[in-house]
Amino acid sequence: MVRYHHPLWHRVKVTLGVLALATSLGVFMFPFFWMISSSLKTLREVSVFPPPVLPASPQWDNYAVAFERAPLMRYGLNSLIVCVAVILGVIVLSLLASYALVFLDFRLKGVVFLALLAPQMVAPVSLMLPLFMILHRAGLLNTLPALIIPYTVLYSPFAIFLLRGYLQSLPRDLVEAARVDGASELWTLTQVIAPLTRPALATVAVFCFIWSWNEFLFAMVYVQRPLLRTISVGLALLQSVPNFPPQTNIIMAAATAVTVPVLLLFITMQRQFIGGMTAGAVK
Amino acid sequence: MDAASKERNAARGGAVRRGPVERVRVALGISRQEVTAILFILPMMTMLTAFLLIPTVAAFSLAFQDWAVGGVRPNQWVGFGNYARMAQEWRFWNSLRVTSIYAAGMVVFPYALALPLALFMNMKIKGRTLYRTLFFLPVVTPVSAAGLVFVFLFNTDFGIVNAALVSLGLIGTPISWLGRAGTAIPTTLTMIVWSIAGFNAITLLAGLQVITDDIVEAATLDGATRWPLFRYITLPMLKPASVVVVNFGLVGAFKVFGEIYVMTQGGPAKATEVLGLYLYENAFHYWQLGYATAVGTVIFAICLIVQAVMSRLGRVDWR
Repeated sequence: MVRYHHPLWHRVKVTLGVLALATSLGVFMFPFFWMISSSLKTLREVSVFPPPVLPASPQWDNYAVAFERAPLMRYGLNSLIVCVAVILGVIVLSLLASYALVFLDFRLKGVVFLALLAPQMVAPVSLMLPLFMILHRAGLLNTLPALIIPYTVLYSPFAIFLLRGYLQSLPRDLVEAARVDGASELWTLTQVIAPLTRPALATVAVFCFIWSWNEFLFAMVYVQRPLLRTISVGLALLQSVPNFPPQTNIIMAAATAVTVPVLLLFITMQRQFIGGMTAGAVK
Repeated sequence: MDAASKERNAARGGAVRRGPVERVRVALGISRQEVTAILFILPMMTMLTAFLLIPTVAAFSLAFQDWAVGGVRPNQWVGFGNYARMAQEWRFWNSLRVTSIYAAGMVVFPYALALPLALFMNMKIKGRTLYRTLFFLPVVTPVSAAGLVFVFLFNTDFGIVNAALVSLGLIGTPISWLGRAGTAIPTTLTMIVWSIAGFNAITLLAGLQVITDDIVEAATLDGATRWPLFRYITLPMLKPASVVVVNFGLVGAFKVFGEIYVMTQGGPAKATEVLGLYLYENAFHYWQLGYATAVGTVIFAICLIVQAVMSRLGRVDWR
């Protein structure tokens, strides 16, 4: 295309842009750097003023101490169970609903769609007590389903929104052809549509994983038995674990261990994640 | 039901064998597809009803009761008593004020950071995906980990922030960032801004990428120069993304909980006590569940109003 800019000015602009980007990137990444660097320091190195930028020699032992003194593996396993159950629940519920919304004719479709999306409008804090009551009555408090159920309900609307958009982009003929062949809708959904929806399902899965892994409020309120805690709450309450050393370097080691899995997952799946996150914004 | 599907039903010989269920279906004028649709949507609707609708409706009735856990007397209906009490509690008004400050901060600062970032990232530079990914990392960082790191960064005695400021000569003595009312909000806000600016930047970038080269070229050929181009092309095109981002910040302030719980627990002297934390304290420290639920309904109402206003603004033509 035709550019009506002076080439030199354009170069200056790009250089300035890259400089500004690099600077802000440094500021944004600094907390991660400091977390990891501090996690490898000795107790002395995190309690002097001013602190050294890097440890004299990396203290990998800090990680061993953190895992030894706090049941971090147990917390991680709890979180993992919750994440997997939420992913399965959300995918089954939202795939069924969005298939109906896209490929089936029924009355009041618009109303149903809005009703399914409505939960997104509600702040989780205002749901905390109502859900607490119902979970209490169902005898589910202090069990992992006390987290799995609310997360599944709260994350499904987003999944329905995303999957509906994706299914709309698939050719309708696929479903029509299966129908003419006498296939049931459930067969068409599981055998024809679901395999084609895999990219969108991957996006849904990544979202569910990261949200469930990081969720704090419900996890703290609904599960208070120490060994059932999820990793985000377990990390925040490390100080209350008996015999846990209240040393910054050990706490930073634990924080790093909790953060790295989710960051790695995000980095490998960032295309799906960012694509999904911005899908709603530009329409 | 449309004529085509009626025909199809007839062709399949729907009239030949009709069980009782089938007869009811026909009598009610429900098509087969509608039956399938109901069955497909039922699981989701059941979950939403059981775990969202019913509890919420039940909670609204609880907001009008005095219910203290472990109390000897049964729940009592107090009418609008909980709301009357709220109007008199300074801590309620304080948390509303604090939440409003966070809301303003969560709209203005992340936007001010994200817009230039998005504009830079929209230039055809190398490594754009890498930038995008890295700026997004804080968004997916567990709030408890981020909170602990920021507490350490802003630590009075061993924090790197104080160390840097002292060595640069900007401050004489270390500042107790989280220990003083005047600095606790800016400090916690810094962490929150850090954790949402990436989302704003990516959302705005997605909005910018709608503006194709064709549009810019056409406008340039029409004689548009730099400023009009930004004012009449870029800004209006950014509107949908901006509405998303502003909404995210405003509603986000009412969702803030973990950040404050980990960093200050609402202190010092309730200076950072947001509505979410105020609700939590009333429910699980004072076990005033009825009152806390009433606070929850206020948060619920404010969020609905904010989102209604924002979706209206989304439809208004800004030019």
